[in-house]
Amino acid sequence: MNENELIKQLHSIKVTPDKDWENRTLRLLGITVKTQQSANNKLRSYYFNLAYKNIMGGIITLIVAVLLAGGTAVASDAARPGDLFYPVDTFMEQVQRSFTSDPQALADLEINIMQERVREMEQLQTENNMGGLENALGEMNAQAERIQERVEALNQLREENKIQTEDQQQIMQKLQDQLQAHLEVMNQVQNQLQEKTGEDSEKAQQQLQQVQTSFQQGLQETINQFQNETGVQLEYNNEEQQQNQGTEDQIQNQNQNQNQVNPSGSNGSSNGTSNQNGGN
Amino acid sequence: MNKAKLESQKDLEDIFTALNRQIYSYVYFRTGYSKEIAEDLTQEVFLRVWEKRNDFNSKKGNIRTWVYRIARNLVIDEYRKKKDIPNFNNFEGQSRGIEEEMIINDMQSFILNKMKDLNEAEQELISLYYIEGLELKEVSEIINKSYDATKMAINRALHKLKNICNE
Repeated sequence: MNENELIKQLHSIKVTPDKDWENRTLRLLGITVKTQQSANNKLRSYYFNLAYKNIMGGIITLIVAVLLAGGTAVASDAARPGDLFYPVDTFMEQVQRSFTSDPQALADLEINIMQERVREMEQLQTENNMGGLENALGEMNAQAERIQERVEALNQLREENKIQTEDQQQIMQKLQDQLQAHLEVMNQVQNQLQEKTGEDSEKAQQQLQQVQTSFQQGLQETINQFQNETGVQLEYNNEEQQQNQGTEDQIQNQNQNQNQVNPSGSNGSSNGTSNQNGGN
Repeated sequence: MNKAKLESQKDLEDIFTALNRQIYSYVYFRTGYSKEIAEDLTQEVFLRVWEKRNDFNSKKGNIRTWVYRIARNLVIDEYRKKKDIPNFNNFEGQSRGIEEEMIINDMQSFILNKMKDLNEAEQELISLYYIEGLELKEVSEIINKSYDATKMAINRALHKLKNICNE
């Protein structure tokens, strides 16, 4: 073989990756960039406010230091959207995210933070703080998106055999348990809002309905997708199952009332929302 | 692919779309023709690209050579971790490679098998210059040698490969 022939053969050797791998990697890169940008924006916004508004910078720094040192988290943790210490609360959550590198622990953290958001929403409604409630609902939507991103990252790792299905199953089980509990709380809040009058209350109701939809169509579908892809059936414990059925019935009734839809055979959990829940 | 800065998700996606096949090919030929390792490492390359985006200086070279250098460092790390030259897949007697995505004729499978007798540096030069088709200047930037030294090394590697093939 002469050199020219060898060069010609070398030039025509082509190796190309799977299209599927290319798509998966593009998704992974997208998630990485979004996650990092979201973290950076939060921090940037926090520092901007601190610098320009000059609100008791020293005190807040001291509180952050105390919290970082493992002291009580009551001051900020109890804060609700609109409160003075609320940025500290979200900042602390951001710090926790920054210090959590394990994807499963990160997903777990986001699910715990969602619990906090739901608690805030419940309190604000009880206090009839409609402005705060609107903010809280916006935060809940953002948190639902974060959870979805985390679950997508776990899906990706599972597909690449970097984590076991069982490991993700624990997270998905927790998500499912909490999702049902959150929907229950939202349903109660929705019922209480319906008893109130006024423009603010109606606006909050509409917004809450959007959040409910995002939970049912976003997070619940994420759970269903996991079950379909892995063949794993997540468990319901009896108490929760009863709650779920109650929630589903209430949501269904509510939707019927609000949309004035008259579906035939509306038989509790055997259709509608329960199908989104993956049965069982 | 003439990016001066890497700032957004779109920038990263553009770079990935433009370079992933070349980088995959480079990693593939340098890690024992293993699809799994090539996929993992190539993914890691582009994650590093994003992590190190602020280090990129367009005055010091183009983005392609910068990405190749990241890939090269990762491959070297991989060698260090495994403390061994990868176990090469055998292409002999196959009109289609072990990896489905690699379609090669008998002559090419013969050449790829003979390439295993070159040392790592020679294999890298053949891969960069002849298989991935980089320019000589780019190869010299990636391996951090002068233009003339790189040219000579490539000629030597090709000559050696030709002799091995004709043995």
